[in-house]
Amino acid sequence: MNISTLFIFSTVISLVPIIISFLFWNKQPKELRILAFYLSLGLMFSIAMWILGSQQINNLWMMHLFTPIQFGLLMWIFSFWFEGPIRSVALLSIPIFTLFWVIMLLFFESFTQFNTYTRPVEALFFIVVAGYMLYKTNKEDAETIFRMPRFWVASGTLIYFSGMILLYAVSNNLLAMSMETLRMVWLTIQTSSQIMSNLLFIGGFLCLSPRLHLQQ
Amino acid sequence: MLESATTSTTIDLLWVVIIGTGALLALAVSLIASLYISQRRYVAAQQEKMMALQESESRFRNLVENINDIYYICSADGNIVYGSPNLFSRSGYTEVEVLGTSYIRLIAREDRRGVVNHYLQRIADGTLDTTHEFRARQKNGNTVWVEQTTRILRNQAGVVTGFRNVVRDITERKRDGRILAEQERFLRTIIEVTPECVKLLDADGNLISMNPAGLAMIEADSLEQVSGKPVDQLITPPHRKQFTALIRAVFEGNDGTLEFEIIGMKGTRRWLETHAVPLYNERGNVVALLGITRDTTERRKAEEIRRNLTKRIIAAQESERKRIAFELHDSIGQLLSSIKFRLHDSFKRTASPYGDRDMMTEIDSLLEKTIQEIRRVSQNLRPSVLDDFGLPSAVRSMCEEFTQRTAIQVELFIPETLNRFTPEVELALFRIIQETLMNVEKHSGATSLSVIFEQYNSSFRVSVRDNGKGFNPDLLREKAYKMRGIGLESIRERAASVGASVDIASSVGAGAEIIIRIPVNGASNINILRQESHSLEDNTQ
Repeated sequence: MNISTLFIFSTVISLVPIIISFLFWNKQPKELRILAFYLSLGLMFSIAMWILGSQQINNLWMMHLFTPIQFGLLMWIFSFWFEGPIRSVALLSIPIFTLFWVIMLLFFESFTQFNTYTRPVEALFFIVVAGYMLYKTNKEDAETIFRMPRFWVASGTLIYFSGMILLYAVSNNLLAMSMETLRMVWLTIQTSSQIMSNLLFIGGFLCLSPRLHLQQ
Repeated sequence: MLESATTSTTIDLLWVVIIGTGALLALAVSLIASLYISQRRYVAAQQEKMMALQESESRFRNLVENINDIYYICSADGNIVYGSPNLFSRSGYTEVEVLGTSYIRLIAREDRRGVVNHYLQRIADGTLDTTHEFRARQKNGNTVWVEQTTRILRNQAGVVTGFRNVVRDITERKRDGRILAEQERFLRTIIEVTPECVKLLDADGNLISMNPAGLAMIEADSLEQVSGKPVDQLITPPHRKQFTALIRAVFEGNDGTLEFEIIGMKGTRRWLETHAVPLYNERGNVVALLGITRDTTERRKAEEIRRNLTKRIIAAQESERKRIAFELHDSIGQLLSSIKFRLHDSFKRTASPYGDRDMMTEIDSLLEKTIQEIRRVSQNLRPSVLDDFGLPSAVRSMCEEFTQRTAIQVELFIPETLNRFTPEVELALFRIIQETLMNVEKHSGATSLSVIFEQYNSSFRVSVRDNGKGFNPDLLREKAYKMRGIGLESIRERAASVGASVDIASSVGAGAEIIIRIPVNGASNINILRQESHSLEDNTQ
C-alpha cells in the first residue's frame, strides 16, 4: 500500500465516527458532539495540508494553527469527565497552553518549520491525561467501561499521541535530512495512529447505542 | 565521508523514531488491551452476578406471588410502590387504583388513626420491625381483620426510606378468639357463681387461684390476701399430712378425695370435702392441682345428730330389751318355775292312775321347754354374759348356741390380749355379729363361717366370712332388696353410732364377708388401713 492509498484509507476511516456522530447527534452528550466537531476540523486540516503538500506549498503553518485548537477541544472534552479541582485545572490548562504556544511561536518556533516544542508537550500532556482517565474509569468500577465514551476517547487519544510524540519531537531533524523520508515516515505513523484512534472513537460514539448494550 | 555520516545519522534517527513510536504504541495498546481483558472478566462476573440476582429475584417474586399473605412496599411517604398479586385479588382494587396511592385507603376508617399513630410512634422510637392488627377495607366495603408485619427501612443516617409489609388475614383467628373468649367468660361465670370452692394449688400447696365461694369458705377478704400462700396452714393439724399426701398424689397424676377440717382466717371451723385432679399443660405435665371443695359442715352436723339419735334409739331399745329380758327371766321365768314345782308337788300328793302320770310328765316337759325358751329369748334380748364377762365370752357363747341351733360350723378366733371396749361399743359389735349370723342363717345357705377378731395398734377389726351362695353388693343399693330384711342398713347404722365402719365384700357363688373396723383412740380410717397393711406384711415376712 503506497502513501496516498494509506492517506485515503485514513481519511475514509476518519469519516466514519463523524458520520456516526451526525446520525445520533441529538442523542449524544455534549462531549461527543465536541469530539465530532474536533474530528471534522482535524479531517479538514488534514485534507488541506495534503492538498498544499501535494502542490509543494509549505503547510506547516496549518499544523501550528491546529495545535492550540486541538489542545483546547480535546481538553474541553476531557474536562467533562473530570470533577472538582481537576476539572478546573484541565480548563485552566487551555489558556496556559495557548500562552505557551504563543511564546514558543514568537521566540522559539517558526511557521515554516515543525513546532517541535508545543506538539511534543501537547502529546505528553494528553498521554498523561488519557492514561489517568483510563485509570480513573477502570477504578470506578460502577459499570462496564465499554459503555463509557470516555474509555474509548481516552484510548484513542492515548494511541494517537503515543504514536506521534516522538515524530513531533524529531520532525525538524528528519526534515533537515530528507523531505521524502520525512513524508514517508510522517504519513505512515500519523495515518496508522489516526486509523487506530478513529476506530476507538467509533467505539466511543457507538457505546451508548442501546443495541450495543444488549449485546454486551 | 561527511555525506556518509549524515546518511548514517538519518537512518539511526529513523530507527529511533520507528522503534520508539512502536514501543510507545505497543505500550499504549498493551495498556488498553489489559484494561479490555480485565473489563471483559469484570463484565462476565457482573453478568454472572446479574444472572444470579435475576434468579434470586425470580425466586423471590415467585415466593411473593404464591404465598398466601399479601406483600407490599411503601415509599417513605406511605405510598404503595409494589404489591404482590394477592394485594389486588384480596382488596378488590386494581394495580392502577392502588399503586402510587397511600396505604391508608386500604385501612378501615375507624382504625386509620390508630394505625397511623402506631407507625408514627415506631418511626420515632427507631423500631426496625413492628406488627400491628387492624381492620382492612376491601373495595366492596367489607372489612377483614389483618395482622401487618412491617420492616421500617432506614438509610445510614436513620432516615426512613420506605416500608416492607407482610399482611396476613386473621379474621378466622379473631373469630375463634372471640368464641374462646366467650367460652372462657361462660366458664368463668360458672366458676364465679358456683357455691363450691374451685381452687388451683401449686406443687408446694400454695394457692394460685380461688373463686369467691372458696374465699368465703376460708374467710379471706380477697384473693390477694391468700394468693401464693400455703393453704395447709388453714387445715387442722390432724389432717395436714393427709392433705400433703393428696397434693403429692395429684402431682403424680392421680385423682383424690379427702374430707378435712379447717379453721378459717376469722376462726370459724369448717369441715370440707375436696376432690382434687391434676391440671395438665400442653406438654402433658401437671402444672397445678385443681380442687373442687364443698362445705360438709352442715352435712356432718346432720349426720352427727342422726348418729346421736340412732344411738339414743339403740340405747332406749337396749334398755327396753334389758327390762323385758329381766322381766322374762326374773318374773315370768320365776313364776313358771314356781308353777312347775307346785304342779310337781300337787301331783305327788294326789297320786292318780298312770294315765294322769303321763299327762303330768307331758305338762312338766312343756313347762321346762317354755322356761328354756324364755331364757333364750331373754339371753338374746340382753345377754347377761356380755355385761358380766365381756364381748369375747358373749360372742363365743352366741356362736356355740348358733352352731347347736343351725348346725353351721363356726370358726372363732379371738386374740387373748383383746382390749375391753366401752359397753356401748361391745354391745354394738355383739349386735352386729348377731345380725350377721342371723343373715347367714336366713339367706346364705352356708355350711360354715369364720368370725375373726384382729387387734392393731390403733384399730380393731372383726370379720365374718361365710361359704354361702353370696350376693351382688350392687343390689344392696336398691331399696327393694333392703326391704327383704337383710338388715345390712341397721348394721351400718349401729356401726356408725359407735364410730365404726362396715365393708361388705361378696359375689354370687363365692360367699360373703363383712368387715367391721373401729378406730381406737380416735384414729382415722386411713391410719387403720395403713396399719392393717403393715401387719399383713409383717405376717407375710
